[in-house]
Amino acid sequence: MAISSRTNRTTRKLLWTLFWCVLAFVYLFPYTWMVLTGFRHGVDTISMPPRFIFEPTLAGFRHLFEVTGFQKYIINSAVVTILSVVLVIGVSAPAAYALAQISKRGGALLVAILVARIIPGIAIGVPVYLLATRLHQLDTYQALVIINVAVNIPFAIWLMRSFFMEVHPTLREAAISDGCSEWQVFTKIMLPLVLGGMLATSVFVFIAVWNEFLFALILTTSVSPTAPLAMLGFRTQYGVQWDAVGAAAFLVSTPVIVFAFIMQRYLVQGLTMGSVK
Amino acid sequence: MTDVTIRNVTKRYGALTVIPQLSFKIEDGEFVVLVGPSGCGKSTLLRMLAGLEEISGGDLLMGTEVINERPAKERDMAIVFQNYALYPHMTVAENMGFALKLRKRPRAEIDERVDKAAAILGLGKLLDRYPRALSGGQRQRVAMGRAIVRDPQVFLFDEPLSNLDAKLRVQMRAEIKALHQRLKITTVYVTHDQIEAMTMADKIVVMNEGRVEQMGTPLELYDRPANIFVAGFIGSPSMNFLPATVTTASSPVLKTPEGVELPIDAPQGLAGRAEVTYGIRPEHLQLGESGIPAEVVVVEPTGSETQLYVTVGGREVVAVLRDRVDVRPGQQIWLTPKAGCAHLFDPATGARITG
Repeated sequence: MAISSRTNRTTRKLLWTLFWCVLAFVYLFPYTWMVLTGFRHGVDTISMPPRFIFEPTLAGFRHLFEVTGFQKYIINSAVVTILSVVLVIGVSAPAAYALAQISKRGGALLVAILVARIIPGIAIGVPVYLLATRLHQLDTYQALVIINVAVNIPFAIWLMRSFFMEVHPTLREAAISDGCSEWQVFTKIMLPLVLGGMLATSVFVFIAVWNEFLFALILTTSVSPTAPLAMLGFRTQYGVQWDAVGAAAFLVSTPVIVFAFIMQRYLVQGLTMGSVK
Repeated sequence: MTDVTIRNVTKRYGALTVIPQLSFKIEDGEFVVLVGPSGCGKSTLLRMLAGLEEISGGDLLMGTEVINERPAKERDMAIVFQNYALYPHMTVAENMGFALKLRKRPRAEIDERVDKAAAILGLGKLLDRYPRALSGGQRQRVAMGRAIVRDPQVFLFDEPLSNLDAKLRVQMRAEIKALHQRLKITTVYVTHDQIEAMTMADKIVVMNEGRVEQMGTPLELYDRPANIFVAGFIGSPSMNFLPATVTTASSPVLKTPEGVELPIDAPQGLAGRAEVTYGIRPEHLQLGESGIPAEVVVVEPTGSETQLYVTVGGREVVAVLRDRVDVRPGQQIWLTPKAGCAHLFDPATGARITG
């Protein structure tokens, strides 16, 4: 009896381990394959059967920087992303605080704000393009930053509002009674308390803006295109330059992974805020 | 320090009226306890005093000055919340000194005042700790410390002891009272616990449905409750109430509907009345040879006293006896009310009849 139950336990453990291994493989294989593609000759990538052992090369990376000028795209992406994240958080945090702690009808307003999130980007593509043209803002950083900020603010307000709601309302009242203005309550009491949530929100916004493709495609041509757009150029009339695509994909994905990794602590802390008393 | 006057104050939330109209005065240096059941408007009143809620009508005065429009931060009232509302990212010292820091007082003065308050409350060794590293009682003290440091004109307490365990509550009750005797700052204290009200207050304001039912010293409320609500609310266990009819022969006689005669010693105010509500506190009933016939249901000895749950003409009555008694469930006994301790109320209005 005892032996059979121990065998059962071992089998169950083994099955779970197998399950997690398969899951890890499903998640990690595409990314690993993409990274490997960046270090392979194009020929090796398309050979059948697929080659796992190959002669590594940096030809793809050289092509990126020496021929395509990929650094320009990365710089554009970085400028647009950093400015957008700072602006989104800067605008959303006070709004989220007001909706969570001050406004009594915050819920209704929040729904109105979230509607902006529901509209698909492609639906406003043409108006946004026309607007940018009329205002002579086509192919500028500010056009991309403004549209990214506008698109991401509803989500950021919605997410951060939930963090501000975790803070007990008597803290605000105690601070007001102690002599704080509303702005001081926000900066001296609320911000330190929702810092984790704010950083978690900034990770999400960072990823969304860094990966943004549609508006970058619509609004930029030669001066301010971002890194995801550069990928389009590797599909030529002679075929796809797989080594350059792989290298570019690796370089584009790395900052996101590094940023998320650094913020991991805050990400977990922010997203589980209030769940443990 | 100052006195506080509440003059015809009303509070409405849309169509809902929480406080119809309220007027009373809190004297300079007085410890006033607002007591009443949940939803009676006591916390709302406290928050209106603090400036955290707007008033819908009437006037709030500090001294002779109307403070209706004065923002919370300029009212010079320090509030202690039920959940303490300590700032979690600040140490005890930072929590206590926060209000002074906002007023841009010199560092040395802040430190001095924080140290002084910490010494009063026995928080000296905890100044560098964060609130999460403190026990419930310590947090409560820090919340009081934060109020003391400000040296306000008025202290406001919103059920500050509700989150503590029974033993700590008794200890903190005494500490708050001692603190008031030492600082003599006008204090308004909200609680739903009538024992807290009785033990701490100079003056109790019993509230119900946004109205003041009675205001007076704890013993005035206990000895001469103005109506059935106050009589039932003040005192533990609650006062026993029995419906009674008045029959007048040579002198008025009170009988329950079941025919049990209820002894009264001063029959004034009964002329022309057919029915009254007879009230007697459990501690004013004694075992005797005559009086009210009762059947014992449950006996609860607590050591210092014995609580008897009995039925009088089928109605539940509680008696608290200081002596140890040998009675058993089912036994027939006589309960004798102490002389001069019965209360008579008008059953229609609930108002006190006897003078």
